[in-house]
Amino acid sequence: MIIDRPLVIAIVIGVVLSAVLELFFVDHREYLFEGSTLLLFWAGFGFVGCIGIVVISKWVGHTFLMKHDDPYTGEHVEAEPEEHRDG
Amino acid sequence: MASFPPVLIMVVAAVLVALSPLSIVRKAIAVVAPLLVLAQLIWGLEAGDSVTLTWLALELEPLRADKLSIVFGYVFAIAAALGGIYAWHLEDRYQQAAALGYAGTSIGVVFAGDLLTLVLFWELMALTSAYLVWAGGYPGSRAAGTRYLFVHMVGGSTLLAGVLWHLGTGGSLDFSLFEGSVAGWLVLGGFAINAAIVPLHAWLTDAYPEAGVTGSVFLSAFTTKTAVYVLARGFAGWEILIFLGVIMALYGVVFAVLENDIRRLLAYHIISQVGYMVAGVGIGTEIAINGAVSHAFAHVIYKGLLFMGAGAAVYATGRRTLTALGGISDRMRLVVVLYMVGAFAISAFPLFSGFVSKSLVVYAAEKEHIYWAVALLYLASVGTFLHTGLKLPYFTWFGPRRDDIHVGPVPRGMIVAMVLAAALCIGIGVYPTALYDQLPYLNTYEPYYADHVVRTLQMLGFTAVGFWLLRGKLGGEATITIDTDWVYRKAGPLARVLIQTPLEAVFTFFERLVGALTRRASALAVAPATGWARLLLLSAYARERGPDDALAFLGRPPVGIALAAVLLTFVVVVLAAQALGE
Repeated sequence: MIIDRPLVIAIVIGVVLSAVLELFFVDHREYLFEGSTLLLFWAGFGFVGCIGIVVISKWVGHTFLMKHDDPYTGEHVEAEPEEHRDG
Repeated sequence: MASFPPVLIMVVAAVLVALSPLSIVRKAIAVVAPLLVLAQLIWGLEAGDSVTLTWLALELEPLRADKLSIVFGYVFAIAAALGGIYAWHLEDRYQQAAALGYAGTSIGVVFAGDLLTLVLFWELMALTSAYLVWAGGYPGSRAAGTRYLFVHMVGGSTLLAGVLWHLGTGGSLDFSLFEGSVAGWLVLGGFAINAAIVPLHAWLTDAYPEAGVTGSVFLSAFTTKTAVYVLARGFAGWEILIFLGVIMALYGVVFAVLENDIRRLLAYHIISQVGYMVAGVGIGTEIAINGAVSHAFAHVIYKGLLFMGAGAAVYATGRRTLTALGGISDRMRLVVVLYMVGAFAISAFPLFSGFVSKSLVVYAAEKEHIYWAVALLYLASVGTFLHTGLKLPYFTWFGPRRDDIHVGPVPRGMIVAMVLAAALCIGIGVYPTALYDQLPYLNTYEPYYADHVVRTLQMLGFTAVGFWLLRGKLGGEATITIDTDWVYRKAGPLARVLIQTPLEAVFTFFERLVGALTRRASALAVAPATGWARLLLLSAYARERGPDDALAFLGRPPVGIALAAVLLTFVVVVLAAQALGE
């Protein structure tokens, strides 16, 4: 995790802006599912969803799916393979 | 003007391109032909138009136009024209012809009114598109193209089996809604392969990045979207498609986290986006079908734009993975900006096309109270922005400047095509009525209301915050991710042991048998004296006259021997024929 100044500023501005937009510009909040009308729900949904997707996918990938050697040719996968220019 | 199937224009164009000696003529045809189709669809064709013909006592309908087919026709023609412009620099007549043929046969599919015409164009689509993969020129292109064709032939055969079953059990040739019969499930299986429904999807992510940069732009547009069209026509309201669609939407997102190849990452997001459309078809209401169709329309254009942008980076640098790229944004500014328009569109930002199309599908799920699907489709949106809008551009273009990467010029045609595609993405987002008016059913949905806009901005904004926090973990990793194609790629040795080796043993046995018989027969023909001597010594002639006389018979002129041989053979054949006849 990289916590730096831009991140903190973005979170503060994001939370304030979200709350202002939600409180002053949205007159009717749609019910989609349990909790979806709570204040700042969608901000939290985006943030937690993003982190959840990354953490779960990386775990599944590192545990089962990602191979450093090509499973079909047996060759080691290079970080920077030869350049290939085509049309 | 009499109606005719628009596919004809494209097929004639493909033949002309393959034959034309002049490069400029080929390029012009590749752009003008799809525009002619577009003109025909706008001015020369109306919903209700039909062309029928009788072939072997079968009533075929190569043209059936209604609102559903026409809207797909529009977007396919637009995609083919944009692809033609993007590929303006390409000097490969067969790729150009294959691309036109591929786009044309896709248009053939959406205007096919009967199932046999549909199957014909379906198979041609697989063939022409496989050529685009083969022509990719990468070390893995040929094998990937062959696997691609293999999977599509299996799909095509499943479809054909379903159609024949349907006809055999009293079904009509007319292509309409299927019921839950064996035939229906077989046809669905054939369509599911092209729609890249998980777990039948791996051909897509295996093959698309192995095509050339222009080839993958065409590939991203047609196959999966023709599948959405046929599902919408044949399987609207099949509930299983809601589950499969939502699984697709999330599956693509998970695999995109792991992917290092930039075009393969985008390919995983095709699966994710087609998931929305499949779910829409599964919901099956008028709003949901409108959603699936409008999302397919928007998707063809923004996905084309994303592949164009990624393709431009691959073309200019000769590199295709996140680990090999980065730090070149200052040398490709325009491409980055245009790519980002596509990224905002796929992420469904307000004022971009995905916002007005994707929300129709989600709204349809909401109207039917399928709240779990609503929540999971929103989650997939988060993943979409995370990868296509943040991870891919960040690690492809941004980061510390890398002078070791040589960035070549991007051809003007590529830029023009991207500008036009970007304009369409914004145009549809700003003025959605233009798209909504083309949909199969009357639209009453309005995407721009405060709650929807604010909710989307909050969600995507905080996705970006999450990305910034985790960007250290999100860079590409030099790995290969195993997907379901592992099953058939690893099945090679097993197939050899179970199928190829026994078959080869049988063939070898008969080959040897035939070889031995041929050698004997030729010995009789070439040196009849020696050959026939053995036979004569065993014959009645030798018993009557003694073996010496029999051998003396061979001393006669060879013509006599030959005649005797012919006669003898003749008698044997006649006797054998008589015996068989009785």
